[in-house]
Amino acid sequence: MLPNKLVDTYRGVFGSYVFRFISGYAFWLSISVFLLLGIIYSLYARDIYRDIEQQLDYELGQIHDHYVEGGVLRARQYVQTHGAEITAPKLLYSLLASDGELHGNVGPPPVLEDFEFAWAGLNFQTFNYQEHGQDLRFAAVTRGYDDGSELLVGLSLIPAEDKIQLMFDLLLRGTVVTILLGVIGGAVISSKLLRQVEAFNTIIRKILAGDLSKRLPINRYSGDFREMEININKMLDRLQELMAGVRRVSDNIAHDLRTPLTRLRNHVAQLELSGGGHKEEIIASLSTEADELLATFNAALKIAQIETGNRQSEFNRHDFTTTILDVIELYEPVAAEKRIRISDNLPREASIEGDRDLLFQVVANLLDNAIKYTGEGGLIEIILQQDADRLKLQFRDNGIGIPLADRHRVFERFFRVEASRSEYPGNGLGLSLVAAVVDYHQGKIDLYDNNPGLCVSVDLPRST
Amino acid sequence: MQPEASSVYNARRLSKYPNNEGKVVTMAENASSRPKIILLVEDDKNVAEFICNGLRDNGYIVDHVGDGDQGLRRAKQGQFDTMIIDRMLPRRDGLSIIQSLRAADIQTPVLILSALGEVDDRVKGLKVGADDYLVKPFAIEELLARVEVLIRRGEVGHAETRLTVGDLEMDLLTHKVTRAGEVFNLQPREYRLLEYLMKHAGQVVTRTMLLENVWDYHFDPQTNVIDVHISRLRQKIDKGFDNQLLHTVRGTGYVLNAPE
Repeated sequence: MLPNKLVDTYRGVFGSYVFRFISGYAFWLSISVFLLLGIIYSLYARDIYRDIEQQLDYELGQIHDHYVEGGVLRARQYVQTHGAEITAPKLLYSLLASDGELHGNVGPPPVLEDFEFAWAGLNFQTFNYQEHGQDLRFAAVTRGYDDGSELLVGLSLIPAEDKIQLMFDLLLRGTVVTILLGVIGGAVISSKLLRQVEAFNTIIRKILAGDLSKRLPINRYSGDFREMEININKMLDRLQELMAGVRRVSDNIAHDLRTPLTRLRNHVAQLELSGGGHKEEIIASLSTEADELLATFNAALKIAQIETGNRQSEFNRHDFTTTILDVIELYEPVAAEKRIRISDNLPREASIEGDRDLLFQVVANLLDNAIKYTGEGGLIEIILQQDADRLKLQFRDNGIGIPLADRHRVFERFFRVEASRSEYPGNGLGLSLVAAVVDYHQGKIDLYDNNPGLCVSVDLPRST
Repeated sequence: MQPEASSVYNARRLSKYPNNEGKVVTMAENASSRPKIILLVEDDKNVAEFICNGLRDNGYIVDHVGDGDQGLRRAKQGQFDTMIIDRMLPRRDGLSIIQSLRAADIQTPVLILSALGEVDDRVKGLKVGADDYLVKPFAIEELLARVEVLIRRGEVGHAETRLTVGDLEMDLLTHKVTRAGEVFNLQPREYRLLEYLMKHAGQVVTRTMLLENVWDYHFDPQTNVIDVHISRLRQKIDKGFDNQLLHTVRGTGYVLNAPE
């Protein structure tokens, strides 16, 4: 019995894709080379035989002419003078006269056989001729006359058949060499490809094992492989980015929920300790804290729902100016508490096709933020501009603004500018919700510096 | 913002022992002596148990069934003051139950429950004839407040032209609001806010109910903007009077109540 390892190797080699590829390749290569060379061979042979046929026809014509002109004598004379020139192929003729006398240099009339390649359109027969004890094959054509006499002309086939045999040998060797070289070349190329695939697999296995930072080496030469490697690497970049995003969000969730949960837990502990005097107060703050947590979860779920687009809420045409004025009216008392002035510059009417409640939420969150991060006595400007197919909403405040470095991150879930974490309440979901709704309406949101303060610009298509 | 201590009630105690204080009587027992019967159609056992307990603690009688077919049959047979029907049910969809009921001219108020993450078809729900729509998860106080409003709606039929709570009066035709003879100058929104509170006097109304009915938007405010509006209103109608009418129910919302 073979050792297991050897069996494995054996299976590995013969069961491998490369082996199957090379065997298939060799099979088809041989068939095509055979076919090609076979066709060349037959065409070559046919041409050679065709030459013989033409020469026979010519000689038959010549002898016939002489025979008709001067009888057997002239014919013999022609063959003696002309036939001597033809040594290869040797010219033979026989003339069986009507009186039964046999002329010519063949001897007794040969037994004619059909030529084996007559099907290829070759009109001659063959016979065997003894010379110096050797059996030689000749091609022959015959012609009969009205008086019963019969003319036969023969040409040796030996030189033709030698040529064809030589050609056959050449082609056979050529076939073997071509197939051999083809198989070796195919094996080299495919094993090179396979090594590349194996290299990909090794790296991809490493990535699967958890090392997302691994990348495929980029081929030096341009081509499909290089492109594939670049694309796979891009895919991995994107994947890593998404993974990092997910990780960051879950880290933030853990961080942001830990604080209120800890507070909740401490209050429960306090409840156990306290004799009863503060019980109601503690319970009330417990439920407030639990409510805040729930609100956070609900907001996160709502964002996810809008982002995945399965809300299917009803889009209808409504006046966005009214929505903004309603928000301003709702928040005006909050602003008044901080002596913040809200100035608006809105068109009389600005119709938009969208989810009225969600758009209200967008404006409300933006105004809520503006009020929250603008100091006492500040100013908030709300500007709405419209053209034929877009609405542009701007919120400008002179509050604390957002540091440039954090500006692209404030739309991330649970992200809060570090400085504002402790000072201002919030769950870090307000702007994420805004971004989700704007995206849902196929709009665009940008943040700019208002020197000082923040300018939020929301661009919405008027119909989607 | 912190409401004044005098106007803060504890929601839990208030709902569990409605008659102890003698001051505020809420929920089921206040309207008439007959206990109210509620049909609950909900397939989730945990949610159903949670709702049943909440309603029973507040003096309601609850009839609970777990699937849509049974729900429709029970709704057609029984006499209920209000129905709470889940949106997604085995065998028959919640919306389809309501459609069948309205087609059979059964006008019992219906509150639809729907899980967050399901298709948001508040509009569809209200269109087929539901009276209110609540998204799970919700606080039990929110559900109780809405159920109470629905039951009362079934009772009050005639159109009023004058609302009265204690010595606070509102003329719905002239929009004049007075308390003990003193005339208040209210902004339009303050007027609508007070009108809603007076129409539901004695009932706890939640912040979302106010946003939906007074502002006509369904959204989640990041901060309690409503509190500021309430405190402004309180400044106008309660300041300088011995009896406070507008109370904050901690963890739930507000109640406008005539002093005993």
